Amino acid sequence: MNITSAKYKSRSEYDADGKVTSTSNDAIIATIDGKDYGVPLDPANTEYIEIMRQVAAGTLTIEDAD
Amino acid sequence: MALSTIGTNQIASEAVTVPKVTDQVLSSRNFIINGDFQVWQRATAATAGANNTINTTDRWGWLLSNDGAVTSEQSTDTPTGTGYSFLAKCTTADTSIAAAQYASIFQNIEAQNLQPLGYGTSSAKSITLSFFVKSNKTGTYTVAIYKSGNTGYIIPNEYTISSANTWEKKTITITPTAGSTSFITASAGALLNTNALGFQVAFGLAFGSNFHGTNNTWSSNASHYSTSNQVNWMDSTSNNFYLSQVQLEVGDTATPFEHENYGTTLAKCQRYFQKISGGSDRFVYAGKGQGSTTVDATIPLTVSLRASPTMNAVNSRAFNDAGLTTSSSTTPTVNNYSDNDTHLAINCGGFSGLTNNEVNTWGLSSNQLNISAEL
Repeated sequence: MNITSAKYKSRSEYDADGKVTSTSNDAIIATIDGKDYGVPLDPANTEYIEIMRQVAAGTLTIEDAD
Repeated sequence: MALSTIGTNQIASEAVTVPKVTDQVLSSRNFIINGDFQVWQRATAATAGANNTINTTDRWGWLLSNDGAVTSEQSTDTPTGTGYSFLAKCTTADTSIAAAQYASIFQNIEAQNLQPLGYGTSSAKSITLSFFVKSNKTGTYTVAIYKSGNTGYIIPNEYTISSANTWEKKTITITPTAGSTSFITASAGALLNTNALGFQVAFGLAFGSNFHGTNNTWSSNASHYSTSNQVNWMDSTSNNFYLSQVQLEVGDTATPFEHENYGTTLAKCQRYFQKISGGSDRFVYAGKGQGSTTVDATIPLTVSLRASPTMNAVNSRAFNDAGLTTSSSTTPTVNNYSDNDTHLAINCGGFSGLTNNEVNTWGLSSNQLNISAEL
């Protein structure tokens, strides 16, 4: 698979008043073979394994979440 | 002797052999899923894309890196007893395969399904691969089995397509000590007992010299997918390659192909890939607002997935009982999935006007949602 970009996606939790109580990364949005995919942070997920392999090899960088 | 008097004591144990047992018993012996190519959830024909991708029949994909191009499609040209076969066509030739180039059709097998093999022990068992094959291009081909795990080993095996355009059945038995090796019977030969990759079965169509090992010999060089005798099937746009009734089983005997009903094979495939057809809010799922721009929703699964899945970008809509309709083109992601769950919790952003924790429904307005947990 050809992964050309990767960016973390964050998820916020809210209190009863709708105020943000915490925010953390919960997925990666990656462009794979020219299309966007949501990739879970699961070490058993094939795309996640490949993303992290490329990160370790220094050929891919995961951008911070917005 | 009356039939009612025939019991175990009247049948010599050596009189009952595997060839005498029909394929109506000893079920679930095929480690290959969709070996008769009955299930095609993604498409019935497509040009092969990037390396290591599956884009037509379920569970089967391409290992590709060469200067040519190939397609795969569903074919009704089959050996007796099968509805479909897998047909590969070379659509752009590569007459000179470079050392690092290759073309191969593969299936990955989950490690925990392979535990009966006893790999990593002195009691490791032989395996037998059988299949029907047909091609206009005769000659020597190879099929490799890569064993994943803490240490990867691989064994290439040659077979010959003798007659052009004729279905031929091939049987290859692989012992754990093939080539007088001890990789598989040593502890490093063990397979993981997890949902990770166990075997990769790879039918070679072309392999450059970087991938050449020794026929029927286990190797610690995980690149040894083939041998120097492998034909270059990529050398002409006239070339085709049909595959059918692929079976990998324990032991040194190829039993008859294990036919399954369609629903059984489909369910096995859906552990790795499920799809939801989109379009005009055909399916909507219960959810709630998570903040003002994202929705948490729950999708029921047909079977539990192998792992938390990857999902493609889709166009979707959210609705609430106050008449709110809001659209998004943001890629959904998994919010929560654990082993053996029967539902998938997803999160999708890109909406507006939502209220935190307010009930919403979420569904596809167009596109097809592909839920992939492939190995």
